Amino acid sequence: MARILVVDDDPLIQATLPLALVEHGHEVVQALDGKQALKEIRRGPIDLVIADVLMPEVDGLELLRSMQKEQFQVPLIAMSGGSSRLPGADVLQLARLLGARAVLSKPFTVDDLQAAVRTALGKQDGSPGPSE
Amino acid sequence: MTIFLVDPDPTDRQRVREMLRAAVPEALLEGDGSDLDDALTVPDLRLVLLEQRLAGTTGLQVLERLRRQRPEVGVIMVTRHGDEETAVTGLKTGLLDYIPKGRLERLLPAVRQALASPKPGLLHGLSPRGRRLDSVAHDLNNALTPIRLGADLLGRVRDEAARRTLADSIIAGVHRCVALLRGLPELGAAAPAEPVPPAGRGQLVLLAAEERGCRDLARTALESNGYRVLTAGNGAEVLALHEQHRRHIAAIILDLALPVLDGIALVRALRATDASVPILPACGVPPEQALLDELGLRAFLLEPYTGYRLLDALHGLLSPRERSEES
Repeated sequence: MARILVVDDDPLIQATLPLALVEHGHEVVQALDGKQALKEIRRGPIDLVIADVLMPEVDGLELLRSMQKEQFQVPLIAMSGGSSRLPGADVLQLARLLGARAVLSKPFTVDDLQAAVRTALGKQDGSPGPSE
Repeated sequence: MTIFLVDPDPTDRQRVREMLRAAVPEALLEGDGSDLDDALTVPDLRLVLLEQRLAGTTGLQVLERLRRQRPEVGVIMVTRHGDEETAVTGLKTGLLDYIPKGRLERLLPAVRQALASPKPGLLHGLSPRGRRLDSVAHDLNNALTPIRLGADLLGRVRDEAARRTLADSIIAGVHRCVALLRGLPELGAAAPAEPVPPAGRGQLVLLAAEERGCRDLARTALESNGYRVLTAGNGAEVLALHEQHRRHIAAIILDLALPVLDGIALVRALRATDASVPILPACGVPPEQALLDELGLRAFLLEPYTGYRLLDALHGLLSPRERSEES
Protein backbone atom coordinates (compact mmCIF):
# COMPACT_ATOMS: atom_id res chain seq x y z
CA MET A 1 0.00 0.00 0.00
CA ALA A 2 1.25 3.42 -0.86
CA ARG A 3 1.76 6.76 0.83
CA ILE A 4 -0.12 9.18 -1.41
CA LEU A 5 0.03 12.97 -1.48
CA VAL A 6 -3.26 14.62 -2.50
CA VAL A 7 -2.82 18.17 -3.79
CA ASP A 8 -5.99 20.21 -4.35
CA ASP A 9 -7.13 23.62 -3.15
CA ASP A 10 -10.77 22.45 -3.02
CA PRO A 11 -11.82 21.53 0.54
CA LEU A 12 -14.61 19.22 -0.66
CA ILE A 13 -12.19 17.20 -2.74
CA GLN A 14 -9.79 17.13 0.17
CA ALA A 15 -12.67 15.79 2.30
CA THR A 16 -13.68 12.98 -0.05
CA LEU A 17 -10.75 11.86 -2.19
CA PRO A 18 -8.52 10.78 0.72
CA LEU A 19 -11.37 8.62 2.10
CA ALA A 20 -11.45 6.74 -1.20
CA LEU A 21 -7.71 6.10 -0.94
CA VAL A 22 -7.76 5.15 2.74
CA GLU A 23 -10.60 2.74 1.98
CA HIS A 24 -8.15 0.90 -0.24
CA GLY A 25 -5.49 0.78 2.44
CA HIS A 26 -3.35 3.70 1.33
CA GLU A 27 -1.92 6.34 3.61
CA VAL A 28 -2.76 9.92 2.65
CA VAL A 29 -0.87 13.17 3.05
CA GLN A 30 -2.63 16.39 2.05
CA ALA A 31 -1.47 19.69 0.55
CA LEU A 32 -3.52 22.68 -0.59
CA ASP A 33 -1.16 23.88 -3.31
CA GLY A 34 2.00 23.04 -5.18
CA LYS A 35 4.25 24.84 -2.72
CA GLN A 36 3.04 22.80 0.25
CA ALA A 37 3.17 19.72 -1.92
CA LEU A 38 6.80 20.26 -2.77
CA LYS A 39 7.62 20.59 0.93
CA GLU A 40 5.91 17.27 1.63
CA ILE A 41 7.71 15.58 -1.24
CA ARG A 42 11.07 16.86 0.00
CA ARG A 43 10.22 15.60 3.49
CA GLY A 44 9.17 12.25 1.96
CA PRO A 45 8.69 9.42 1.55
CA ILE A 46 5.83 9.86 -0.94
CA ASP A 47 4.98 7.04 -3.38
CA LEU A 48 2.47 8.91 -5.51
CA VAL A 49 1.18 12.44 -6.02
CA ILE A 50 -2.40 13.16 -7.13
CA ALA A 51 -2.60 16.85 -8.04
CA ASP A 52 -5.16 19.20 -9.52
CA VAL A 53 -3.81 20.93 -12.59
CA LEU A 54 -5.31 24.35 -11.92
CA MET A 55 -4.60 25.76 -8.48
CA PRO A 56 -3.66 29.21 -7.24
CA GLU A 57 0.03 29.93 -6.69
CA VAL A 58 2.05 26.90 -7.74
CA ASP A 59 -0.30 24.64 -9.73
CA GLY A 60 -0.09 21.02 -10.77
CA LEU A 61 1.93 21.65 -13.93
CA GLU A 62 4.47 23.81 -12.15
CA LEU A 63 4.64 21.20 -9.41
CA LEU A 64 5.42 18.60 -12.06
CA ARG A 65 8.16 20.79 -13.52
CA SER A 66 9.64 21.50 -10.08
CA MET A 67 9.60 17.81 -9.20
CA GLN A 68 11.49 17.03 -12.38
CA LYS A 69 13.95 19.84 -11.79
CA GLU A 70 14.68 18.45 -8.32
CA GLN A 71 14.86 14.96 -9.85
CA PHE A 72 12.13 13.41 -7.77
CA GLN A 73 11.01 10.17 -9.42
CA VAL A 74 7.60 10.19 -7.72
CA PRO A 75 4.81 9.41 -10.22
CA LEU A 76 2.03 11.98 -10.52
CA ILE A 77 -1.64 11.74 -11.49
CA ALA A 78 -3.05 15.01 -12.88
CA MET A 79 -6.69 15.91 -12.27
CA SER A 80 -8.73 18.57 -14.00
CA GLY A 81 -12.32 19.68 -14.30
CA GLY A 82 -12.22 20.80 -17.93
CA SER A 83 -14.50 19.10 -20.42
CA SER A 84 -13.31 17.40 -23.57
CA ARG A 85 -14.06 20.22 -25.99
CA LEU A 86 -12.83 22.96 -23.72
CA PRO A 87 -9.40 23.94 -22.53
CA GLY A 88 -9.34 21.73 -19.43
CA ALA A 89 -8.80 18.70 -21.65
CA ASP A 90 -5.79 20.40 -23.20
CA VAL A 91 -4.48 20.89 -19.71
CA LEU A 92 -4.57 17.16 -19.06
CA GLN A 93 -2.94 16.54 -22.42
CA LEU A 94 -0.28 19.03 -21.44
CA ALA A 95 0.16 17.30 -18.08
CA ARG A 96 0.75 14.02 -19.91
CA LEU A 97 3.31 15.64 -22.17
CA LEU A 98 5.06 16.99 -19.10
CA GLY A 99 5.23 13.51 -17.63
CA ALA A 100 2.05 12.88 -15.64
CA ARG A 101 1.71 9.09 -15.30
CA ALA A 102 -2.09 9.14 -15.52
CA VAL A 103 -4.87 11.71 -15.72
CA LEU A 104 -8.28 11.98 -14.09
CA SER A 105 -10.99 14.09 -15.63
CA LYS A 106 -13.28 15.48 -12.94
CA PRO A 107 -15.79 14.28 -11.91
CA PHE A 108 -14.49 10.72 -11.61
CA THR A 109 -15.64 7.62 -9.75
CA VAL A 110 -13.82 5.68 -7.05
CA ASP A 111 -13.15 3.00 -9.67
CA ASP A 112 -11.61 5.55 -12.06
CA LEU A 113 -9.42 6.70 -9.21
CA GLN A 114 -8.29 3.18 -8.29
CA ALA A 115 -7.49 2.41 -11.91
CA ALA A 116 -5.38 5.57 -12.22
CA VAL A 117 -3.57 4.78 -8.97
CA ARG A 118 -2.81 1.24 -10.17
CA THR A 119 -1.55 2.58 -13.48
CA ALA A 120 0.62 5.22 -11.89
CA LEU A 121 2.09 2.92 -9.25
CA GLY A 122 2.59 0.02 -11.61
CA LYS A 123 4.84 1.93 -13.98
CA GLN A 124 7.64 3.32 -11.91
CA ASP A 125 10.42 2.42 -14.28
CA GLY A 126 10.21 5.68 -16.24
CA SER A 127 8.67 4.11 -19.30
CA PRO A 128 5.85 6.09 -20.86
CA GLY A 129 2.57 5.50 -19.04
CA PRO A 130 -0.34 3.76 -20.71
CA SER A 131 -3.14 5.86 -22.11
CA GLU A 132 -5.23 6.09 -18.96
CA MET B 1 3.93 36.28 -13.10
CA THR B 2 5.64 37.83 -16.08
CA ILE B 3 4.52 39.61 -19.23
CA PHE B 4 6.96 39.67 -22.13
CA LEU B 5 6.77 42.55 -24.59
CA VAL B 6 8.38 41.90 -27.96
CA ASP B 7 8.68 45.01 -30.14
CA PRO B 8 11.68 46.35 -32.06
CA ASP B 9 10.42 49.94 -31.80
CA PRO B 10 11.65 51.54 -28.53
CA THR B 11 9.02 54.32 -28.63
CA ASP B 12 6.17 51.84 -28.98
CA ARG B 13 7.65 49.73 -26.22
CA GLN B 14 7.71 52.73 -23.94
CA ARG B 15 4.05 53.53 -24.62
CA VAL B 16 2.94 49.98 -23.86
CA ARG B 17 5.21 49.81 -20.82
CA GLU B 18 3.67 52.94 -19.35
CA MET B 19 0.14 51.73 -19.95
CA LEU B 20 0.85 48.40 -18.27
CA ARG B 21 2.89 49.74 -15.41
CA ALA B 22 -0.02 51.84 -14.20
CA ALA B 23 -2.55 49.05 -14.49
CA VAL B 24 -1.18 45.57 -13.85
CA PRO B 25 1.19 44.30 -11.16
CA GLU B 26 2.95 41.68 -13.34
CA ALA B 27 6.65 42.01 -14.00
CA LEU B 28 7.41 43.21 -17.51
CA LEU B 29 10.27 41.85 -19.60
CA GLU B 30 11.06 43.63 -22.84
CA GLY B 31 12.89 42.64 -25.96
CA ASP B 32 13.27 43.67 -29.57
CA GLY B 33 12.81 40.12 -30.81
CA SER B 34 16.47 39.10 -30.89
CA ASP B 35 16.43 37.53 -27.42
CA LEU B 36 13.40 35.28 -27.68
CA ASP B 37 15.09 32.06 -26.64
CA ASP B 38 15.83 33.29 -23.14
CA ALA B 39 12.48 34.89 -22.66
CA LEU B 40 10.52 31.81 -23.70
CA THR B 41 12.09 29.80 -20.91
CA VAL B 42 11.00 32.22 -18.16
CA PRO B 43 9.13 29.80 -15.90
CA ASP B 44 6.33 32.11 -14.76
CA LEU B 45 5.74 33.65 -18.19
CA ARG B 46 2.02 34.20 -18.59
CA LEU B 47 1.48 36.58 -21.46
CA VAL B 48 3.42 37.72 -24.54
CA LEU B 49 2.64 40.97 -26.35
CA LEU B 50 3.94 40.66 -29.86
CA GLU B 51 4.66 43.01 -32.81
CA GLN B 52 4.22 41.35 -36.20
CA ARG B 53 7.28 42.87 -37.90
CA LEU B 54 10.44 41.61 -36.18
CA ALA B 55 14.06 41.44 -37.32
CA GLY B 56 14.57 38.16 -39.17
CA THR B 57 11.22 36.71 -38.21
CA THR B 58 7.55 37.60 -37.85
CA GLY B 59 5.18 37.77 -34.94
CA LEU B 60 3.20 34.90 -36.47
CA GLN B 61 6.28 32.69 -36.54
CA VAL B 62 6.99 33.48 -32.92
CA LEU B 63 3.35 32.72 -32.15
CA GLU B 64 3.61 29.29 -33.75
CA ARG B 65 6.70 28.55 -31.74
CA LEU B 66 5.07 29.67 -28.53
CA ARG B 67 2.01 27.51 -29.17
CA ARG B 68 4.30 24.51 -29.59
CA GLN B 69 6.68 25.16 -26.71
CA ARG B 70 4.54 27.02 -24.20
CA PRO B 71 0.87 26.43 -25.03
CA GLU B 72 -0.22 27.75 -21.65
CA VAL B 73 1.20 31.20 -22.36
CA GLY B 74 -1.27 33.75 -23.76
CA VAL B 75 -0.28 35.79 -26.82
CA ILE B 76 -1.72 39.14 -27.87
CA MET B 77 -0.51 40.79 -31.06
CA VAL B 78 0.02 44.54 -30.71
CA THR B 79 1.15 45.75 -34.09
CA ARG B 80 1.65 48.67 -36.42
CA HIS B 81 2.43 46.42 -39.38
CA GLY B 82 -0.34 43.88 -39.46
CA ASP B 83 -3.22 43.48 -41.85
CA GLU B 84 -6.44 41.56 -42.01
CA GLU B 85 -4.64 38.44 -43.21
CA THR B 86 -2.24 38.58 -40.24
CA ALA B 87 -5.12 39.03 -37.82
CA VAL B 88 -7.15 36.13 -39.19
CA THR B 89 -4.19 33.76 -39.36
CA GLY B 90 -3.06 34.83 -35.90
CA LEU B 91 -6.45 34.42 -34.28
CA LYS B 92 -6.76 30.97 -35.85
CA THR B 93 -3.29 29.97 -34.71
CA GLY B 94 -3.84 30.98 -31.12
CA LEU B 95 -3.78 34.74 -30.57
CA LEU B 96 -6.02 35.78 -27.71
CA ASP B 97 -6.44 39.16 -29.33
CA TYR B 98 -5.19 41.32 -32.18
CA ILE B 99 -4.70 45.00 -31.40
CA PRO B 100 -3.51 47.54 -34.00
CA LYS B 101 -1.40 50.22 -32.38
CA GLY B 102 -3.96 52.78 -33.46
CA ARG B 103 -6.41 51.09 -31.07
CA LEU B 104 -4.25 50.84 -27.96
CA GLU B 105 -7.24 51.65 -25.73
CA ARG B 106 -8.21 48.00 -26.28
CA LEU B 107 -4.96 46.74 -24.82
CA LEU B 108 -5.63 46.92 -21.08
CA PRO B 109 -9.00 45.15 -21.13
CA ALA B 110 -7.47 42.40 -23.27
CA VAL B 111 -4.47 42.04 -20.96
CA ARG B 112 -6.67 41.97 -17.87
CA GLN B 113 -8.91 39.32 -19.36
CA ALA B 114 -5.93 37.19 -20.30
CA LEU B 115 -4.38 37.52 -16.86
CA ALA B 116 -7.61 36.47 -15.17
CA SER B 117 -6.76 32.92 -16.22
CA PRO B 118 -3.79 31.04 -14.76
CA LYS B 119 -3.15 29.57 -18.23
CA PRO B 120 -4.34 32.23 -20.65
CA GLY B 121 -2.90 30.42 -23.66
CA LEU B 122 -5.44 27.65 -23.17
CA LEU B 123 -8.30 30.12 -23.55
CA HIS B 124 -7.59 30.45 -27.23
CA GLY B 125 -10.54 30.07 -29.53
CA LEU B 126 -13.20 30.89 -26.98
CA SER B 127 -15.37 33.99 -27.00
CA PRO B 128 -15.66 35.91 -23.70
CA ARG B 129 -18.94 34.11 -23.08
CA GLY B 130 -17.29 30.82 -24.00
CA ARG B 131 -14.49 31.53 -21.55
CA ARG B 132 -16.94 32.29 -18.79
CA LEU B 133 -18.90 29.14 -19.62
CA ASP B 134 -15.68 27.19 -19.56
CA SER B 135 -14.94 28.45 -16.12
CA VAL B 136 -18.47 27.50 -14.99
CA ALA B 137 -17.99 24.05 -16.54
CA HIS B 138 -14.71 23.68 -14.71
CA ASP B 139 -16.25 24.75 -11.38
CA LEU B 140 -19.21 22.42 -11.94
CA ASN B 141 -16.93 19.47 -12.60
CA ASN B 142 -15.07 20.30 -9.44
CA ALA B 143 -18.30 20.50 -7.46
CA LEU B 144 -19.56 17.24 -8.97
CA THR B 145 -16.44 15.36 -7.90
CA PRO B 146 -17.25 15.19 -4.15
CA ILE B 147 -20.84 14.25 -5.04
CA ARG B 148 -19.67 11.43 -7.29
CA LEU B 149 -16.95 10.18 -4.95
CA GLY B 150 -19.19 10.67 -1.93
CA ALA B 151 -22.05 8.69 -3.44
CA ASP B 152 -19.66 5.90 -4.46
CA LEU B 153 -18.07 5.75 -1.05
CA LEU B 154 -21.25 5.90 1.03
CA GLY B 155 -21.93 2.38 -0.20
CA ARG B 156 -18.48 1.13 0.79
CA VAL B 157 -17.37 2.99 3.89
CA ARG B 158 -18.62 1.75 7.26
CA ASP B 159 -16.96 4.25 9.60
CA GLU B 160 -19.65 6.58 11.03
CA ALA B 161 -17.51 9.74 11.09
CA ALA B 162 -16.36 9.14 7.52
CA ARG B 163 -19.93 8.64 6.40
CA ARG B 164 -20.94 11.92 7.99
CA THR B 165 -18.06 13.69 6.23
CA LEU B 166 -19.17 12.15 2.94
CA ALA B 167 -22.79 13.19 3.43
CA ASP B 168 -21.70 16.74 4.31
CA SER B 169 -19.44 16.89 1.25
CA ILE B 170 -22.22 15.69 -1.03
CA ILE B 171 -24.61 18.31 0.33
CA ALA B 172 -21.99 21.06 0.05
CA GLY B 173 -21.24 19.94 -3.52
CA VAL B 174 -24.92 20.08 -4.44
CA HIS B 175 -25.23 23.56 -2.96
CA ARG B 176 -22.25 24.68 -4.96
CA CYS B 177 -23.72 23.23 -8.16
CA VAL B 178 -27.01 25.02 -7.53
CA ALA B 179 -25.21 28.32 -6.96
CA LEU B 180 -23.28 27.84 -10.22
CA LEU B 181 -26.39 26.92 -12.16
CA ARG B 182 -28.20 30.03 -10.89
CA GLY B 183 -25.55 32.06 -12.68
CA LEU B 184 -26.02 30.18 -15.93
CA PRO B 185 -29.14 31.72 -17.52
CA GLU B 186 -27.42 35.06 -18.09
CA LEU B 187 -24.76 33.12 -19.95
CA GLY B 188 -27.18 31.14 -22.06
CA ALA B 189 -27.39 31.60 -25.80
CA ALA B 190 -29.73 34.32 -27.01
CA ALA B 191 -33.00 32.51 -26.28
CA PRO B 192 -33.00 29.43 -28.53
CA ALA B 193 -36.44 28.71 -29.92
CA GLU B 194 -38.15 26.52 -27.33
CA PRO B 195 -39.73 23.48 -28.94
CA VAL B 196 -43.48 23.58 -28.43
CA PRO B 197 -44.65 20.35 -26.82
CA PRO B 198 -47.53 18.66 -28.65
CA ALA B 199 -50.67 19.29 -26.62
CA GLY B 200 -53.35 16.79 -25.73
CA ARG B 201 -57.08 17.09 -26.46
CA GLY B 202 -58.46 16.36 -23.05
CA GLN B 203 -57.45 12.67 -22.97
CA LEU B 204 -57.37 11.09 -19.53
CA VAL B 205 -53.95 9.89 -18.45
CA LEU B 206 -53.20 7.70 -15.45
CA LEU B 207 -49.87 8.81 -13.99
CA ALA B 208 -48.07 6.67 -11.43
CA ALA B 209 -44.88 7.55 -9.59
CA GLU B 210 -43.86 6.91 -6.03
CA GLU B 211 -42.32 10.30 -5.36
CA ARG B 212 -44.84 13.02 -4.85
CA GLY B 213 -42.65 15.86 -6.17
CA CYS B 214 -41.99 13.92 -9.35
CA ARG B 215 -45.69 13.15 -9.75
CA ASP B 216 -46.68 16.76 -9.21
CA LEU B 217 -44.21 18.05 -11.80
CA ALA B 218 -45.36 15.55 -14.43
CA ARG B 219 -48.99 16.25 -13.58
CA THR B 220 -48.48 19.99 -14.03
CA ALA B 221 -46.76 19.44 -17.36
CA LEU B 222 -49.64 17.24 -18.56
CA GLU B 223 -52.50 19.34 -17.23
CA SER B 224 -51.12 22.56 -18.63
CA ASN B 225 -50.89 20.91 -22.04
CA GLY B 226 -54.39 19.68 -22.56
CA TYR B 227 -54.50 16.33 -20.71
CA ARG B 228 -56.60 15.27 -17.76
CA VAL B 229 -54.68 13.37 -15.12
CA LEU B 230 -55.32 10.70 -12.51
CA THR B 231 -52.41 10.01 -10.18
CA ALA B 232 -51.33 6.97 -8.24
CA GLY B 233 -48.44 6.46 -5.81
CA ASN B 234 -48.15 2.67 -5.98
CA GLY B 235 -49.04 -0.32 -8.08
CA ALA B 236 -52.16 -1.24 -6.13
CA GLU B 237 -53.60 2.23 -6.67
CA VAL B 238 -52.88 1.97 -10.37
CA LEU B 239 -54.84 -1.27 -10.64
CA ALA B 240 -57.74 0.15 -8.65
CA LEU B 241 -57.91 3.36 -10.72
CA HIS B 242 -57.56 1.43 -13.94
CA GLU B 243 -60.42 -0.85 -12.94
CA GLN B 244 -62.58 2.13 -12.06
CA HIS B 245 -61.86 4.38 -15.07
CA ARG B 246 -60.85 1.81 -17.59
CA ARG B 247 -63.03 2.97 -20.42
CA HIS B 248 -61.82 6.55 -20.18
CA ILE B 249 -58.11 6.07 -19.68
CA ALA B 250 -56.23 6.90 -22.89
CA ALA B 251 -52.77 6.06 -21.62
CA ILE B 252 -50.85 5.02 -18.52
CA ILE B 253 -47.51 6.53 -17.56
CA LEU B 254 -45.78 4.65 -14.81
CA ASP B 255 -42.49 4.52 -13.01
CA LEU B 256 -41.06 1.01 -13.36
CA ALA B 257 -39.80 1.19 -9.78
CA LEU B 258 -43.15 1.48 -8.00
CA PRO B 259 -43.74 0.17 -4.48
CA VAL B 260 -46.24 -2.54 -3.48
CA LEU B 261 -46.43 -4.00 -6.97
CA ASP B 262 -43.35 -3.27 -9.05
CA GLY B 263 -43.67 -1.78 -12.50
CA ILE B 264 -43.11 -4.92 -14.52
CA ALA B 265 -45.54 -7.02 -12.50
CA LEU B 266 -47.96 -4.13 -12.72
CA VAL B 267 -47.74 -3.92 -16.49
CA ARG B 268 -48.37 -7.68 -16.70
CA ALA B 269 -51.42 -7.31 -14.46
CA LEU B 270 -52.74 -4.43 -16.57
CA ARG B 271 -52.14 -6.32 -19.79
CA ALA B 272 -54.11 -9.28 -18.42
CA THR B 273 -57.26 -7.17 -18.43
CA ASP B 274 -56.44 -4.57 -21.07
CA ALA B 275 -54.13 -5.60 -23.88
CA SER B 276 -54.30 -2.39 -25.85
CA VAL B 277 -54.04 0.59 -23.51
CA PRO B 278 -50.84 2.48 -24.33
CA ILE B 279 -48.42 2.28 -21.42
CA LEU B 280 -45.38 4.53 -21.14
CA PRO B 281 -42.88 3.24 -18.59
CA ALA B 282 -40.34 5.60 -17.02
CA CYS B 283 -37.06 4.06 -15.95
CA GLY B 284 -33.50 4.98 -15.06
CA VAL B 285 -31.87 2.56 -17.53
CA PRO B 286 -33.18 1.54 -20.95
CA PRO B 287 -35.08 -1.76 -20.65
CA GLU B 288 -34.25 -4.73 -22.87
CA GLN B 289 -36.12 -4.75 -26.17
CA ALA B 290 -37.32 -8.30 -25.45
CA LEU B 291 -38.96 -7.13 -22.24
CA LEU B 292 -40.62 -4.21 -24.03
CA ASP B 293 -41.96 -6.58 -26.67
CA GLU B 294 -43.20 -9.06 -24.11
CA LEU B 295 -45.06 -6.37 -22.18
CA GLY B 296 -46.47 -4.71 -25.28
CA LEU B 297 -44.59 -1.46 -24.66
CA ARG B 298 -43.83 0.63 -27.73
CA ALA B 299 -41.74 3.33 -26.05
CA PHE B 300 -40.18 4.21 -22.75
CA LEU B 301 -39.21 7.39 -20.98
CA LEU B 302 -35.65 7.57 -19.72
CA GLU B 303 -35.28 9.25 -16.33
CA PRO B 304 -34.58 12.00 -15.60
CA TYR B 305 -36.95 13.42 -18.19
CA THR B 306 -38.14 16.93 -18.99
CA GLY B 307 -41.73 18.04 -19.42
CA TYR B 308 -41.10 18.30 -23.12
CA ARG B 309 -39.85 14.70 -23.44
CA LEU B 310 -42.78 13.46 -21.42
CA LEU B 311 -45.30 15.24 -23.66
CA ASP B 312 -43.48 14.25 -26.80
CA ALA B 313 -43.39 10.57 -25.85
CA LEU B 314 -47.02 10.59 -24.77
CA HIS B 315 -48.06 12.29 -27.99
CA GLY B 316 -46.12 9.72 -30.01
CA LEU B 317 -47.81 6.92 -28.10
CA LEU B 318 -51.30 8.30 -28.55
CA SER B 319 -51.30 9.53 -32.13
CA PRO B 320 -50.77 6.27 -34.13
CA ARG B 321 -53.51 4.65 -32.11
CA GLU B 322 -55.83 7.55 -32.72
CA ARG B 323 -54.95 7.52 -36.38
CA SER B 324 -55.72 3.84 -36.68
CA GLU B 325 -59.04 4.36 -34.90
CA GLU B 326 -59.93 7.24 -37.18
CA SER B 327 -59.08 5.38 -40.36
